[in-house]
Amino acid sequence: MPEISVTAPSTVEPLTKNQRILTYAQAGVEGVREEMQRNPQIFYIGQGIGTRGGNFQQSRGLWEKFGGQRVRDTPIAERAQTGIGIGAALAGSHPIVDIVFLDFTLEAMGEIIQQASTIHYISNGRFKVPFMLRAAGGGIRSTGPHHSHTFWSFFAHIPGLKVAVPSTPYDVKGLIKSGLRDENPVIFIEHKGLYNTKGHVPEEEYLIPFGHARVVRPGSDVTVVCLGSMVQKSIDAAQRLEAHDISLEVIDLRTIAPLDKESILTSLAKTGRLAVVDEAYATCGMAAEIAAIAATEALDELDAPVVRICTYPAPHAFSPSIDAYLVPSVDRIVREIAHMMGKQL
Amino acid sequence: MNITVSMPQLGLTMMEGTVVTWLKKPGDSVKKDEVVLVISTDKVDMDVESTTDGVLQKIIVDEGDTVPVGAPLAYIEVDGDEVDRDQPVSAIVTCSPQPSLVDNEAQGASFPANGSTALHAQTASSQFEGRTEHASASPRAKRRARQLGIDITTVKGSGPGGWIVEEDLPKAAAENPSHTIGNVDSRRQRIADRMVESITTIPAFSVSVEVNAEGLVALYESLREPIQSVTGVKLTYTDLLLKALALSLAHTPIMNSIWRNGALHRHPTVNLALAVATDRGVIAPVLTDADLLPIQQLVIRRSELAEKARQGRLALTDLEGGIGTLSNLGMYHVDRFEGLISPGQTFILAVGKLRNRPWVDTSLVIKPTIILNLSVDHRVADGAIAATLLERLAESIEQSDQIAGDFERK
Amino acid sequence: MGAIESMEAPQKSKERQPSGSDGELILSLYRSMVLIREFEMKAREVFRTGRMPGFIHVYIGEEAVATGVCARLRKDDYVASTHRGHGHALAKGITARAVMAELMGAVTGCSGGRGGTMHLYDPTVGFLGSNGVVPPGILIAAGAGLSAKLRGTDQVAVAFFGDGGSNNGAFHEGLNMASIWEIPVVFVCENNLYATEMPLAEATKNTNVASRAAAYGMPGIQVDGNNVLEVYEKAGEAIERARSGGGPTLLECLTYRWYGHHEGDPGVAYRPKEEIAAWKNRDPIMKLKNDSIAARQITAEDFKRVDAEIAEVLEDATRFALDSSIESESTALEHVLYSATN
Repeated sequence: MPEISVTAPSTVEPLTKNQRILTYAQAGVEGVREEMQRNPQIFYIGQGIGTRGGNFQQSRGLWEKFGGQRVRDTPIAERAQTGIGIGAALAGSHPIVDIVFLDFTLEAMGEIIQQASTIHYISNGRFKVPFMLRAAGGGIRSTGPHHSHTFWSFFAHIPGLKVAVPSTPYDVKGLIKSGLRDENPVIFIEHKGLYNTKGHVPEEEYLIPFGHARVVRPGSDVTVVCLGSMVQKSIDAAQRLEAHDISLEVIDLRTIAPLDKESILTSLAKTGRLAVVDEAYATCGMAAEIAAIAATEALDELDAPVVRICTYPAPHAFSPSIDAYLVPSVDRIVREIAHMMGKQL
Repeated sequence: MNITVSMPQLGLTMMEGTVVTWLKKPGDSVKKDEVVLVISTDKVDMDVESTTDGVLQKIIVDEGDTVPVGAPLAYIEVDGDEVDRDQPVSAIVTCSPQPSLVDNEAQGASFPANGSTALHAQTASSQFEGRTEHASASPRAKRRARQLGIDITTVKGSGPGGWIVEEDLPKAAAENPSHTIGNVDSRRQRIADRMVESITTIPAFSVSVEVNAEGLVALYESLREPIQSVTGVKLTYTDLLLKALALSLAHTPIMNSIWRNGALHRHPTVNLALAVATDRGVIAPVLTDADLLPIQQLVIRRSELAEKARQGRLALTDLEGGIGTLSNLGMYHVDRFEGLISPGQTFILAVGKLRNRPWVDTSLVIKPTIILNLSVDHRVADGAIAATLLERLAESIEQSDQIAGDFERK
Repeated sequence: MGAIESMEAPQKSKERQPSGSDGELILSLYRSMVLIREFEMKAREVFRTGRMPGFIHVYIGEEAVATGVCARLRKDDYVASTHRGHGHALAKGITARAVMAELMGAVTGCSGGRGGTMHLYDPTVGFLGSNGVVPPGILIAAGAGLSAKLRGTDQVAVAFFGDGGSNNGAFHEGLNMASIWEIPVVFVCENNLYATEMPLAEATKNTNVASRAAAYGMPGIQVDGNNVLEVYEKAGEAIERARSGGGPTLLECLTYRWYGHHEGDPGVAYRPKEEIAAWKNRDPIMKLKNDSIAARQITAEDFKRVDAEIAEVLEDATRFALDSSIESESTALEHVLYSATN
């Protein structure tokens, strides 16, 4: 598998002096390392995650620190990696199965959905499944049709799974630590385009609970719900729309199962308008789910129809121009939200 | 299960009501027949009682807010079996009226509850309020329209594609002063609405006459004690004037008509409203079939209504159906005045002080006289008809023999 | 890695014969097989009354495999089972009451009525679930074995699967990973010659499942799955190998199911009558009984005593299951996720 290089960093939180700056990848490593130190039952398996440190450097230094028993490279066998991880969880270990690319979790879907998500329920609570599946989704620089998938909503659809989609280094560390202390199956989906982004990451211990979105930018005209790589794009759009007197309230979901509905509804009561920006497809995705929530629980708050700003429905093309067209850009976000406000931009 | 307390329909023409005071708050227990809140409509305050024991769960409409009849006001939780959710339960709430508040200064401008035609027609069921096919409006805007009591079809939309959005609404309310908004006292506002409606929609003119009241005085003196002993009620000049007016009206049937939607509608009975002063202001209950009521019954009826008015116990049916109002300011130092016709009525008779005045017959003498001023809706009657009624009234008062009818007197 | 052992069709001279000191062992093996046999017969009976939800896959004819393997396991060893798992569950130590109640969907079942026949779970005896999919049990058992190894215990895991499972990707990936990591797991293939209605000979060019072990560099052993003493012996070796750090073994047990794939499938459309009759003549229970009586180790009365005991156990278990209540829907959303506060 070729190394994928990522573009120059952009920040979500403003950087000031005396902050401790880590990349998104480093923050993940730090979180995993701290938890592996804390809990000896955690072990880490995946392809190229041992001495190589992971395709995205997402496991760098773990093999050196914890050794080849707890940090193991596997052959190309996603189904066995996942199934064996689940079996180990049933027997009292807490495995991290790193599938590296979200796309290849498809090889292991049976184990995730038929086994991991159901066992606690169908055993009537007698077995726990403390198991984390880690993978990077989304596209960057023409990663192409087999390395760009965004189907995080598939996992959110299944009861019995928790799903995280962090967008910043701060969130990665806090959420991965929470995930590793959770004795449920956790699908931890990072974004490969964000691994080299930088942000402030406190050295001291902190956890971010699942089910708590973050209001990244308060506003009054439109509630913009986003996740992953779309968070920074939404912030950029918000800055541009300010010049046109349109004020966006940007909410980063951080986890989609559990989903922080309350934050969305509270914001919607204030603004009356809802846009969801998601790199996944609009059909049957998180944007559709959130639109349904608004229609069911906050119909009278809506001053405009809900807008879904998502990747157009085609496979992820290799061609850079087509790729740039299909995936939501800052321009498109600006245009579609301005249109919600009755302006042509 | 939850019982919904809704804005009740009180009176044929009631379209909306205002919450005046909540007497219970969420969490309070409520007993059957206990008063939960006070609402006002036009200028009548009404108690709203609970039909059930339970606990008040949630208040939906706050004090000062106006909603259409049928709109939910609150929920009361009742212990009991689960109700099929497809059939929501809504209580029919019983009410009793309270004394109203009408501007004291609007002299003679007493308005019965019926007849306000300037209010936009609104459906009784609030959940369909604003959701018409004609308005392309956001749910949020529709909700605001319901809260303001505004017909959303009258609002101009500024949203994309002409879509009506929330922002469009306060502007619309300001342009439409017949609806209550914001912090203005709603009763005062309604009175103001009616005054303006009267002045702007009813083309009124007036005719007046000074009447020799000797006969009236003599009649009064002769009836005073017998009426008192028969009815237990003190006779007033107003009673005699009411009777006289009713009889005159019965002989001038054209004047017993109302102009509505471009046509004259004759009233089958002679119903007169009487302005009553209370410590909360003037109110005008209606005496039905005033021409047919024997004097003693009229006196009793008048007395009952006046008492109810002063105690704030009038029902809306007591305020409906009048063709005209008699307003007597004779207890004050007012020789003559001109009243404003109540929307929904055809005339108002303003009566001044009965006192001795110079009277010229064949010579200048002193006699008790009373000055009457009749304001009439010109769409119903021309000057000649109005004058005819006034003339008959004057004759009735001067001759005064018809007034007592068959009643035995000294 | 060890040499590949394979055996031709078992011959009398190589059969293990019962001997004097085995009396207790024989009775306990007999007891286990009869428990399974009678349980499955009873389950079929109840199923036919229409009172049992879902559908069942009975283990009748294969009792020697579950019995022989599980007799070598400790309580804290792990078993991952299949859709045809009642035999494994009972042999591993789940009570007849708990299994029968689970088949009825009752709250007293080992999975609280939420799993049914194909999702029997019991952590107290290391039973990691029968399974509705073929053959994730291979991976689950390998995972449990890996966990034991990482935790430094000498627990062993056993994966049961059928000839059908041996042609699935999980077999390849699982055995491969177990061998490179030397996981303490035994892969037991219950080869009953048919996967649903597909004969093994049509499903693969290499019908010698044990020989596939060579592809993964692990020992592959084939045994007469209807000779419980032989299963007992060879399973014992494989389990000991795993327990002492020698890594995984593939153990192929040749056996046969008397009835169809599931209740409702008569099993005769795709199998010759003669074949079925021949295998019924090799009833593992009758074989143990007859051989032991012939060797004068156990008397017929001893066996009858066990029979009577088991009959009572089943009587009790069935009554218990039929009397138990069904799970209330008020708990429908419990246990979707684990919470420490539950």
